[in-house]
Amino acid sequence: MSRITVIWFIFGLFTGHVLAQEPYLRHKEWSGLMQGKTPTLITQDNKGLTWVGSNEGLFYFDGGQLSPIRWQDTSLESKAPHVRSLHQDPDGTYWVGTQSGRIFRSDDIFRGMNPWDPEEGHPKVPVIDFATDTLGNLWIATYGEGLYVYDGSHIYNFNATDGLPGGDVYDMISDRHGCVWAGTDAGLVRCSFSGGKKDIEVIGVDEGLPDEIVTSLVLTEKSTLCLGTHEKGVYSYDIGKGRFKDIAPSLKGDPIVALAWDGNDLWIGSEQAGLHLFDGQSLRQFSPMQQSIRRINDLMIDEEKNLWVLTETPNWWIGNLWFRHLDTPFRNVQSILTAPDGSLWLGTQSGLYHAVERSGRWTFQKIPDMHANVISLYRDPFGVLWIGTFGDGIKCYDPASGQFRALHSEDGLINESILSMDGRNDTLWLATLGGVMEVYLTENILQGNKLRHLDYNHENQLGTNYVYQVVADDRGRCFFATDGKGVAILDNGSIEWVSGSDSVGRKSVYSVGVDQSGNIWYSTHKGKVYYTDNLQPQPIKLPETVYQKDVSSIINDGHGRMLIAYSEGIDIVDAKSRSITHFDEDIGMVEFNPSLNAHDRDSSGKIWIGHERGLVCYTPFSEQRTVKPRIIMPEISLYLKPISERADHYFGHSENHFTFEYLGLWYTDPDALSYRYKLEGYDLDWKTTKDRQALYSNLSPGSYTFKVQVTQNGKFEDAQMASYHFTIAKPIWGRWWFIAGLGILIALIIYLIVMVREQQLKREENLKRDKVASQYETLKSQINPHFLFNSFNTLISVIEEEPDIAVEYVEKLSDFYRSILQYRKRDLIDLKEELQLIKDYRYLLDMRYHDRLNISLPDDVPEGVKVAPLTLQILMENAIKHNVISKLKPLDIEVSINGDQYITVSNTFQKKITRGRSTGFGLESIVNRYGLMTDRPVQIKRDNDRFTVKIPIIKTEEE
Amino acid sequence: MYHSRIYIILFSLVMGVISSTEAQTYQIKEGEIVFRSDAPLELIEASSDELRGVIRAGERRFAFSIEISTFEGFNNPLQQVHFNENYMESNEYPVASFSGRIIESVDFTKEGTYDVRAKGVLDIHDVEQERIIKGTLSIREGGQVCTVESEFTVLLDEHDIRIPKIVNQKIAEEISVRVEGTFERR
Repeated sequence: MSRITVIWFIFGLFTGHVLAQEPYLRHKEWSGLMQGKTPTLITQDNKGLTWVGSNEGLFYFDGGQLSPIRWQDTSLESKAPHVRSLHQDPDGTYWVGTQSGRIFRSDDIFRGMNPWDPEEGHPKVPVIDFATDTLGNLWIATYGEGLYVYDGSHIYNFNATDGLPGGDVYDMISDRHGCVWAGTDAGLVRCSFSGGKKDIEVIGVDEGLPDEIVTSLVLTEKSTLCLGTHEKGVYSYDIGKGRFKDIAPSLKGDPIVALAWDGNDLWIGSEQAGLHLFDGQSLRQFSPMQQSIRRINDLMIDEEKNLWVLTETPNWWIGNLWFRHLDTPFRNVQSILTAPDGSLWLGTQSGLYHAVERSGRWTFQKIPDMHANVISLYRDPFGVLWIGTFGDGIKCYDPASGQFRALHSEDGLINESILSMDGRNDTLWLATLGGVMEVYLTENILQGNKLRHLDYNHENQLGTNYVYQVVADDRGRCFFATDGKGVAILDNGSIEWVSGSDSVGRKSVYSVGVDQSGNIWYSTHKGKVYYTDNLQPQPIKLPETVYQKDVSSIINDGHGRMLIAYSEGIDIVDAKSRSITHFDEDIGMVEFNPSLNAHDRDSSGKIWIGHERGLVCYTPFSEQRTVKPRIIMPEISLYLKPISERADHYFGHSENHFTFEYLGLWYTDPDALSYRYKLEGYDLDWKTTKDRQALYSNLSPGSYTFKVQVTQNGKFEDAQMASYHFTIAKPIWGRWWFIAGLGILIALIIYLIVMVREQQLKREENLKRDKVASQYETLKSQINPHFLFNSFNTLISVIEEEPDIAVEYVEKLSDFYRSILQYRKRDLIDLKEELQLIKDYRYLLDMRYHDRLNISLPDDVPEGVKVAPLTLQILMENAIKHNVISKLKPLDIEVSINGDQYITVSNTFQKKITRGRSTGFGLESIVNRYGLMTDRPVQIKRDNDRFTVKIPIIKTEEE
Repeated sequence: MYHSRIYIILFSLVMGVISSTEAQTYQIKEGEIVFRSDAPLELIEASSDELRGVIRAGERRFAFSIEISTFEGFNNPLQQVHFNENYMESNEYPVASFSGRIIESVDFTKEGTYDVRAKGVLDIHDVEQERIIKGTLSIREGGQVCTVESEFTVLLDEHDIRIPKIVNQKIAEEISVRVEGTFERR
């Protein structure tokens, strides 16, 4: 090496910059609601909603603002309680512990929290934590009274008398084996409660615990617990082996407040030194955006892998842990190679840099004598770096020995612009502007031997000279992203093409990647991405991913996901479901512009991507599930009033004005959310909106389901959905039973009318028949020869002595018969007419019986009084027929009108003994006829000396 | 009778130990215990004023006991016989007791009324159950006298007290118990 080279080398070493690799933490200020309050806790519920507790109330955070929770407790007056703990158990019930020891619970937290008043009373000291163990017991940790456990019926206490070393509990977590772990001021405690039996195991200083006061706990891996202490920093505790390991020696003396485990790294919050990160190897302090976070109150990592940092000062921080940023002092990292020792080789336009991390700090050293435009990097099995340049061939460099060798056309390179390199075992493929070179690396290139190679280019089976990328897979295949011919697959020396239509777009391929199922993903110009699927003959275009500018990289993350890097950000695509999660400027990817195919995966699986301002490091969390925005429906209102718990979801026909409030949860980028909703039974199509409520009024009766989905990438097909099913009842007149009942009622009425009519007809018929019978009877009686004989006898007795009277008698007799003939066909006649007839009759009878018969008639007859014809005549005739009429016992017949109710016919009762029995037909006929005409019955009364018949008066209007 | 004797000996021992070691010991002067079974078909209420108890103020420890056979006031004499012989088996298990420690710290020299919780072992029908029982402690006459009042429930099932199906409409599953005692400092 020349002297100049040595000077360059030294100079390069000392121009290194020191930078940290950090998640992009966004700073948030509290809204007005939190003014003057001190945050106490941050946590998420089972549905992924974030809750913030304070010394004055509890709030939920929807991504934009905080909303307070109501407290259904009159004793609180206007001030919300000092919240110390919040927990949602697996049944969905929320539990809130307060500074005063009161506990609140709620099955529907948006309706408010209700005081919990168990028979055993509530603690009198702060309730600092809850946990549900795997047996279903609810554990309550207090600061002063130890632990309580609630098994659903009773509360039991664990304190000093049970062997708990101290009553002041700082933190509590439940493990997967039915136990809870509590950090107290006298050691670590494991408790369980099963079948009424308490079990306590104390792990104190004697068992190797470095500090008596355990302030925070987190379960990291299956049998490893991390614990923060008051004075001795942070330890990991191997539960099986019972061994403690110091992982934060630099934090001794700084009380640990909170711990959080993201699946890879442990985040540590302390009282004085703020936020630290332990990645399994080293501990480093973390200060987002160069601002120091000092007193930390709580830490949380949510399922989106957002880190939440709650600080004493009225602000908080949120940052996504999928991507961390490392800024470089130079621009445009064009190629990346990760080294086995964790360091990075970075190719730029101005040469090659070596980035090395020590305790979280990165230093960058420029490799001297390397002024070329480095666009590709590879390390061969001998540890030699192959540095591909644009137009200047390949430089081979052994970092261990510092040995160089330059390769140019004269050494066998088919082209001096090496766009991409990849290999497996002893085979290396070079993508050049002159085709692909397959290089065999059986011996170290630095020994000066000639390249042994096979070429694929325009002249042979490849048919093109321009190849942007080569990607080798584990099965010995190599994929070429060609310009103009699509994706070529080199397998056992022969080339196949990914079938596709002839469209030009598919033929210019910039990036190619292979997922774990062996499917090929590739990007073409104008930002289109295609993937092959074994079931489909043709590559499929990934929908919704037409990027503004070209896609720069397609990378398999090794966990079933493909990363698509483009100018605005990175999309994570689930290789199986093809669901996409966008990450862009909200996680710090501003002026991103990643370089073409500048990426590499390190030994821990992290993927480094080079862009305009530096590097982005992607952490592949091993979660199987693709994280998607969640959706909840905090409130459903009826006529703008929240619907209280109505389990049946059944509403009256006038309850038809609904407001559905929904909330999508995507804390990574809340503004990216959009919703679509549909009321099944009403809407035909989905409505897409950014609003967080939907209003429906005047819904007609029926069955409805409100469905709402949320997305952060514009795709709803596999988005999460919330729904609410309800029924609006038909009005009473619209229900089947009412209609059926009404039909039956109408039928019944018709039936009744028919029945009444029929009865009336029958009655009329009966009346007619009776009338006929009575007419016949009357006629028969009047033409009774006996009557005639008697009349003629009477006539004879007067005809000689008093011819005038005889004439009058005959006149009366004939009047009488004429009246009978005249009236018998009528239903009713005036009482006056009847009385006139009776007067004639009386005259005839008087002539016969003289003073043996005394008939008195009413003088005054009211108008409109009707009787059935011949009624009085028949009664009078009956009286004469059945009674003794003699000088000694004169018969007295009296006709009178009692008010307007009855006509009374009454006679002295002196029964004549006759041989022939009376038929009684006359009286029966009267009773029957009146029975058909009026409700009032004919009354027949017989006492010792009088026989009385009362005939109901029928007024004209009653006819 | 064997059990009965043991209980009496034990209780005397506890009281003896407590009274001999600590000046701040409160001995019960009068006490009443009432239980109430509010079943759909019948309300049973019985009481006993034979409650015995001691509170050791310094250590906040206490012990209460009651002889089952002293309960009176049943709806009829037969009921009392059933209570003693069939359900509580008072020949075999003559005494019910509750002893333990008061969770809250109480200044027994300061007059006032304190809401306290007593954590202890409730022994009924020879089945021990750990319970937290809420009560009110009133200190009067400068700490010379204290009164204790408490109401709690006892689940028959928890104490292995079996009720024949035929009468389960007449006896509640959950018996509410009210205790009142006046203690004097010794």
